[in-house]
Amino acid sequence: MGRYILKRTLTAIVAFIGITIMTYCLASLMPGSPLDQLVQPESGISNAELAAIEHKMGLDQPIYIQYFFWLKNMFQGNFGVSYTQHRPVVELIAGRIGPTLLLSLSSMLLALFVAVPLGTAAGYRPYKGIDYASSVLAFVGQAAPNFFVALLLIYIFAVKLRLLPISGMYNSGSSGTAGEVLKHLILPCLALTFQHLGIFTRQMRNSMYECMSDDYVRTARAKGLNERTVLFKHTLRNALLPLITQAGLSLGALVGGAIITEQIFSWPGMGTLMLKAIKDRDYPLIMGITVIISVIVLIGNIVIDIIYRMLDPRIDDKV
Amino acid sequence: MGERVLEVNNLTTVFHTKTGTFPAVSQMNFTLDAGETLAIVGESGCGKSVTSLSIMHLLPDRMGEITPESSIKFKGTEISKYSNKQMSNLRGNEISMVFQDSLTSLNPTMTVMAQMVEPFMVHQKISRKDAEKAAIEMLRKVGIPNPEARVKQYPHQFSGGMRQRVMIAMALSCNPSVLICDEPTTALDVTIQAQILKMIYDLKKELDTAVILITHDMGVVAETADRVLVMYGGQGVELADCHTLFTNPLHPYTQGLLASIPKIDDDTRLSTIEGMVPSLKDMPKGCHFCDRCQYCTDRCRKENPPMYRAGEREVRCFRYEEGN
Repeated sequence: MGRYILKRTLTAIVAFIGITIMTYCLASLMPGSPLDQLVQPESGISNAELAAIEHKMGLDQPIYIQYFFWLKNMFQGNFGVSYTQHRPVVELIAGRIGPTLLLSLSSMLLALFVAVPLGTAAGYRPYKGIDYASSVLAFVGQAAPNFFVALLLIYIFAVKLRLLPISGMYNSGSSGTAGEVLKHLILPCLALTFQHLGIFTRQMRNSMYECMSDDYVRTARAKGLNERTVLFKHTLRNALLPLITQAGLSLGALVGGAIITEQIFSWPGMGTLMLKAIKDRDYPLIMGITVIISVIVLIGNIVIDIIYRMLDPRIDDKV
Repeated sequence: MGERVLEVNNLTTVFHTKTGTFPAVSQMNFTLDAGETLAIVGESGCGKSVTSLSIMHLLPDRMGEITPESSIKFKGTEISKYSNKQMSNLRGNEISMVFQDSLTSLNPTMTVMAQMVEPFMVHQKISRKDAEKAAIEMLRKVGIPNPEARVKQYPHQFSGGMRQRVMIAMALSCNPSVLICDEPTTALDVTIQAQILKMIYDLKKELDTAVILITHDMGVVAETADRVLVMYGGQGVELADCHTLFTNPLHPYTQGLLASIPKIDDDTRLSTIEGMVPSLKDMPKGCHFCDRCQYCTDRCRKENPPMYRAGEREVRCFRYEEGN
């Protein structure tokens, strides 16, 4: 197991370097320059002065030199200073990472907690009421855009029923108790969950349906085990395997989807910070956030792989 | 022969499919006595497995169904209408089954031990610790070397032959009266095949278990069976003791089947049965074999013959109707 984790970590580092190169190139290719945001056109600044600022920021260097400078600093824990907010990137991100993780992880867990029992029930009794109901839910969940679901939830629960707050993470002027945060978390978490719930439920339903006709299930019945044991001890564990893979694939989409959801609910996470950074061409901040998100996704994938290995002993011999 | 353990009468199993309901097995009759080995032979799709799954009530959900006029008696008790719950008391306890593919038939995510202890704990209601001891003992009996260490492994770490031994150990753990082996050696090498068959034979002797051996390998039949039931198109066509069947087959299908076994000292062209097995969905109205039979008459096309008794044996063919 130790060797496996080491191997996965090393490949993750290679993937990580690849991600930073791609993001750095894409960010630099975006039309417009950071100088446009910093310097007002009507300020009457001279070209010589502009060149001096450009030189000071390292923007006159070729892009690969800029990248290596950035990479070297990054490994020293220095993500640079935001061009527009004039504060260290590390500091800006540190304040935002908690809310994003809270939102993403809670909706991942909620999606799994609903999808596993629902998909199991649907796959165990296919082409019956619960199967059709879960299909409808899944298709609606996949088809409805995230922002639409979010607005609908706000309209129903916040505007009409006045049960839950519209946006933010705390009541204004409050330092925020756990209960208060939880109350604010419900709507964004639901909006983000809804999208993944559909895929997860369908995946669980299909793998359950397939596993039920597997030979070892027949063997379990031939041993005289009751249906509960056949279902929960023999089938469920095998049926969970594809869902775990699916959850790993969805992890990136979940953190990415959080950006839109955060924006709608004014959730003080990295999504709002990211959008502002892109608008401002704030390269150090864009890179910093990308690095953090990719690290989260890569670590998440390693965790998922480890869980998969614990559930499926056959993987052990293939590595 | 000992006590009658199984009596199957007029067993008909239908399958519901999108294109309609059709019988996969019809009018099956046979008996099984304690300690006896009955081989059921026939081509793929002739209903051998459906017959055994019907006895076990393990037909595919929502698809297979035993018709109400069928009768399956286990030690004199009618079990064809048993509920799933009633059946689970018999399965793995009184009637056990070994399947063809031992890799897919064992749960890939559970250790061999976890799977071995289940029948003991469910049927004998003994503690996990005692069940583990019994499981190791059973594995030793089927010839698994160093069972104490090997039980902690997973099925994929066993060879095909060893896995089939595990399956057999599991099936025999509660000392059942009937063991159904559905092509137990088809997926194995010939050398391993012989070992497994010998082991089944030895254990059967030791435990006085009645065995139903499903196979399409006539060599296996000749080596192991006391009596043979030949199936064609979802029906039994000939039932006889093993020696008689091989020396004097009566039904035209049995004759064709035996003639199409290659013989090493015979230089003539290998004989085959002309034509194709009809699909279960469009069986001939009369005798199921009529389209391929050289003795076929008008009557054969119109009526399906019953099983005629000819001394100790039974055969489904008008040629052996009384008086002929």
